[in-house]
Amino acid sequence: MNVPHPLWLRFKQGDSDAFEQLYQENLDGLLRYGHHFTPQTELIEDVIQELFVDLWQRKANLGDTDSPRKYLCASLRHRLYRTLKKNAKTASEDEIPFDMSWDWEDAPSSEERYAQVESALEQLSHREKEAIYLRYHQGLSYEEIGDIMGVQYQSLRNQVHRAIQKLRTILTIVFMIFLTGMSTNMRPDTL
Amino acid sequence: MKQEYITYTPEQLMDVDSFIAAYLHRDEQFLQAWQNWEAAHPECSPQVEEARSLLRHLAVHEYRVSQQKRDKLWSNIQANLQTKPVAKRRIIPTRWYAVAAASLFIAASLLLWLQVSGQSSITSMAGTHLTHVLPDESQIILNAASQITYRKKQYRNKRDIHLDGEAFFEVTKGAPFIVETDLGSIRVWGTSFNVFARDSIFDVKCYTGKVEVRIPGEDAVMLTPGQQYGYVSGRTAASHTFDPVREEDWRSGQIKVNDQPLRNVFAEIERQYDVTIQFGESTGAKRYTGFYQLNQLDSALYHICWPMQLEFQINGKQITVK
Repeated sequence: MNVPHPLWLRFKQGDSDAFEQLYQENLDGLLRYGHHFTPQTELIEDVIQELFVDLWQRKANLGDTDSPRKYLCASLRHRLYRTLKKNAKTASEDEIPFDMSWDWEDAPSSEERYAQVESALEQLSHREKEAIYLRYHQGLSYEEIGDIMGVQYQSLRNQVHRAIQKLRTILTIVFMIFLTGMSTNMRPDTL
Repeated sequence: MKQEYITYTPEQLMDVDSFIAAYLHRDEQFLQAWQNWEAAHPECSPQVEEARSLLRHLAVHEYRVSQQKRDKLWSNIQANLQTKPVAKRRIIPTRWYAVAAASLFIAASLLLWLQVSGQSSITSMAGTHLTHVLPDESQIILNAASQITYRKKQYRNKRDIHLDGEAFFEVTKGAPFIVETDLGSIRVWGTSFNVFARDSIFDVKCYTGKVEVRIPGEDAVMLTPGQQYGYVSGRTAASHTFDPVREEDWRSGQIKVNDQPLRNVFAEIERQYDVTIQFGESTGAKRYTGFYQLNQLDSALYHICWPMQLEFQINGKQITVK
């Protein structure tokens, strides 16, 4: 733990403005993060409400944190896991899927290319997707993500690095196929 | 803009926060800054283009949050908070008596509520250990910065304790004795055991008798003396063995650490001595195996830092480790 976050300290001392600020700054991110674990909006909202109520009621006994957002994400993740596991009765945590519905408005153009890239990205494990999501969409540091997912910093960095490397290779290959495809298709016309 | 960006590979570029903000989240300010930078370094265009393309493929559909939803959830939370916040933004000096009366009223109703529900809560502050004897003579030793809560009235029929932190339990024979934590629960009849349940780590050690451990989503596990069972959030649970007779633990002032990241070790020091420790990210990730005595702070720190080739400085309640 580094220096405790000042907003967190104010909140822990019972400052209700600080508590509201914690809520306002983090709610959107938490709701979005939650929706990657399950489409059940109501369930996510219940869990988030419960999280904030508990937070306020137990503020005096909470530990310090240098990143309230990390703390809240970790707490939401843990609570969602618990609820979803209870409902689904899945055996291990790896089975709780992390859903990414990709949104490439200006990325690959042709249907075929889209399918290839999509199937490539679907090869990533759920936890790889989650790490990528937290890094690129929640803007968290690897250190914070490691704490949230309970993974060592170095192994997390390697994991993300490998995943990006995988994507990079696939994109290069897909792009090459796309190019050769284009040139063979075009040959009759140009001749 | 940093000069060394010109040496970055596409993967390094796409990992720069401002680059992500510019090309994935379309932040105007950063976009402008990066476009200017690219114009000034045309030789880097291929790397920037590849990084951009990689990032574009990471775009996902996100749930959209409406202002209405934010307001609704916030009012639900407010309604759920049983005690209204005592401290208001500004207290007008001439009306201090109204504030005093209000606080008194809240305190009185809280007391009344505690009496009616019979809820008992025992907290050990950082830097202290605390022994609590339950109505049935069962004993709980709380480690620093830990809390137990239970209903006094119902305790005879239902031995149900909520724990936040770490504690050692010596339970007399009788009705099932249940320890609930946020990370898992333990059910016993008459036995002694230790529970560690903080942040994302849950760990149970059985000293005598039998202990049944339940982790959400997993089958219950029965521990016999010398067995230890637990997990870290996000990983699967595992069991180990230890020597319940010979192994010293925190109750005797010995803290043994087996391959833990230093940040956990320092968090324990912070709780035991009520201090704050500052250290770098890479230091916190280093793994430590060893033990230290809970007597002098400097000697404990020395035992941890010396084998790791780290130096520490104590400044009152502030400690810096390098």
